[in-house]
Amino acid sequence: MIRYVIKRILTIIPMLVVVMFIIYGIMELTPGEPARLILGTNASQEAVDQKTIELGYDKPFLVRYVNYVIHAFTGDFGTSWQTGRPVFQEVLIRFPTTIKLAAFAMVLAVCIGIPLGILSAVKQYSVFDAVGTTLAMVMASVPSFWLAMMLIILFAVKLHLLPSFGTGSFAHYILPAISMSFAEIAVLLRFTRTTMVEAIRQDYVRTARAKGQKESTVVFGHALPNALLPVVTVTGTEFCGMLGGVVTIETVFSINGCGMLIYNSILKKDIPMVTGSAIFLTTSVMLMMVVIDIIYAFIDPRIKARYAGTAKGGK
Amino acid sequence: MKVKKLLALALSAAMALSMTVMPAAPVSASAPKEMMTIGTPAITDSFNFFNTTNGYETFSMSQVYDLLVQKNENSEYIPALADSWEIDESAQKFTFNLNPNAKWSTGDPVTSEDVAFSMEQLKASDFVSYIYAPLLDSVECPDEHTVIINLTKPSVSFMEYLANPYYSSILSKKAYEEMGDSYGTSVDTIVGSGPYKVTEWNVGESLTFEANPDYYRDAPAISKVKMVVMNDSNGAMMALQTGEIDAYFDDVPGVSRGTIEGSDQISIYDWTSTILFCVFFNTQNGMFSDVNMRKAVAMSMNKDDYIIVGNEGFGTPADYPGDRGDIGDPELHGIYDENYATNLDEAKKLVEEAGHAGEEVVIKTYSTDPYPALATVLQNSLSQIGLNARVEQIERATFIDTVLGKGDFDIQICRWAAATEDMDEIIYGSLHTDSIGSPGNWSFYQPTPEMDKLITDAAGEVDPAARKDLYKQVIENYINDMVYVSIYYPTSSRAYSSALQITDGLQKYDYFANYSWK
Repeated sequence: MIRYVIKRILTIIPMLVVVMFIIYGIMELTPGEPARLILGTNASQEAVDQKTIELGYDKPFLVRYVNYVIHAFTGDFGTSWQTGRPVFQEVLIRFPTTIKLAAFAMVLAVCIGIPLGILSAVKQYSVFDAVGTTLAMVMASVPSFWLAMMLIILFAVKLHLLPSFGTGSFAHYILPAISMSFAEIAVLLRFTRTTMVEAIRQDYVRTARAKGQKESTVVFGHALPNALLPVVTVTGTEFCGMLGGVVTIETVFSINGCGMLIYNSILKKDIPMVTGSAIFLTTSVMLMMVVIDIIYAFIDPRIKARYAGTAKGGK
Repeated sequence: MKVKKLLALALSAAMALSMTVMPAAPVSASAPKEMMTIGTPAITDSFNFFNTTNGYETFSMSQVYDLLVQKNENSEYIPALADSWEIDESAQKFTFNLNPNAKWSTGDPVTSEDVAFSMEQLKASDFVSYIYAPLLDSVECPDEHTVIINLTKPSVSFMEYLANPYYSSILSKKAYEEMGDSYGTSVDTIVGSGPYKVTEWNVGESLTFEANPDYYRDAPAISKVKMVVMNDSNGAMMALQTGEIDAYFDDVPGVSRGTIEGSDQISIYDWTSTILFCVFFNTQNGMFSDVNMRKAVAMSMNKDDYIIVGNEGFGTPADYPGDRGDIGDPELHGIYDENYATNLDEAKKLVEEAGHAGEEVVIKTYSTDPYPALATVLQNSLSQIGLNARVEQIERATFIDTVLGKGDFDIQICRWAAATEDMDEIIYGSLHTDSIGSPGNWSFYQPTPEMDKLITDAAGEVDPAARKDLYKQVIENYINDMVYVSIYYPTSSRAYSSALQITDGLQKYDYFANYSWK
């Protein structure tokens, strides 16, 4: 099992180098003179030329890229052109906010989506199923920014129950998390329903019923553990997607998170900040995927058995 | 049994959630508070004025740093760091007498050396040197509280720059030199002489200010102010309604306007912005180097359509740059319509005579609102006069580099803003040879030497009537050459809690100190 974990972690390194090249390359390909963008249209050409040298943009792309990678692996992602502060520091300040928001939204999605999915599957073709699948369709169709505005109008403006922006307390996260979780609830509901319906039709479930076990034991003891395996992967993937896709919600609720940071940096073409934060988020997503794979290995006896067998065989 | 346990757990969780939620509300929007909260699209990343972009960032700095002079609600100059001033007849020598009580937040006195140092820094600044470098000749400090600024050429509008927090700030020489690169990067490296000082700074999120106890004028009425970043203006309007913020330092979005205007808890103040939306032609190359083609476009446009599409109807049509009644405005109202009232037949005829009928025209514009919509209206106008127009939306950075910087376009829609209210910045910036490719002269217009001279003479003309006459001639040339079409000025606005009071006219300066609780 340890070999499996180490192997998964080591695969991150080459992937990171490739991702860095892609991100750095894309930023390089975008037109526009960085120095001019920083100094604005009013600055003289002399000032722009001086700034170009200061930024190192008088050097070839590959030289800059290699320098960047070397520094990045020592934790130095450069300095923001806009704020003059280290990129890593700027991202780290905001990362907990984004993680908290995404985690809260994911918890809501899991707590609502999976049980509803199970209910829909167990009571297939019933009213519960019809309501569940219709609900999923509606939730998947509602744009998150629209939902966010509606929630603000209702809970902040009309009812004065919740704050409409910021991150000062737990209450500040409720509306953003609900807005973000809607689409995820729909995904998990539908996915859980599908896998659960498949599991319920398996022979081992039929056998369990034939042995006279209680329906709850059949559903929760036999069908559910098997049906949840792919759901774990989807949950992890969706969570990773949330980390990169929080920008809309962060904008509507004025949350100073990573999404806003990247968005504002793109607008200002703050290349070190865009590159650094994109790489940071990519690394986080990769690590998250490793964690999911490890969890998967623990809950899926087939993977566990495969690596246990390999260890015993000494290969 | 298990179901009952689950139900109990769910109910407990719901109760816990409700208890967490309830203390956050309700919020009163009308009761005076200890702290005023201001929403703004951005706060500054650095308090080093000389090395920082001057956009929304200025709101953060202008509370802390003082100017030599300020403007009142009638746009007249009033004392700030300078108690009095004198401008010689040539409009080249400006003498300022500093307030002897003015102090830095370190306790040191504000001296003429600080002013001289700041002027030199402004001259060297990457962000404002384009104003000061060609204008500033020398700064003399005959004594600790007297400063004489000598200009390279006459400039009546120099006072406008000094009174404008986007262009000017006086910083402490001693603090700036001692702290070096760290100056303005944290709360304890900001040294100002203004009515407030920064006490807390959450980068990219909020700034907290407290009244400066050593301020040399009357203490501000509101002693504590928090400035929070609100990127979404519609979200800000909702926060204003809930009372979470007391004012928003940016325009009220058109979509929220009805709600805000209908609220008795929110006040709103409008004025005509200095921002000017324009259609710029490439006057050097391509089909629009022909003045008749430019005139044809001018005659094809209905400016009201652009205001509706671009600003939901909140704007004022422009005849020429600066016709908002700016200082030196010759007030030639109606001159645009006299020459270019919408006349599609005449416009079509001009296009045919120029031999461009049916030719393809690419309208370049930013990819962000409201430009694509404005470009579509222009596309319709051009199609109606026999041109095969299409719109090309370009990402901001590329647009700045290729279109505005290198002139790679035939026709484009853009906006530019003069930060001052003087015709000099507006006209020099958009029509003088020295400004080709700079903000304003994005038509790359090459005026005649006579036109250049008129503009330069007007800048230094101290007699208001004579100055207006010079600008009248400039505007007539602009209209005859149809250098670019001035479409409209959007309506600027500030919305704030009705529990606050401020003299009308002062809202546009965005100083906390101008506000007080009722």
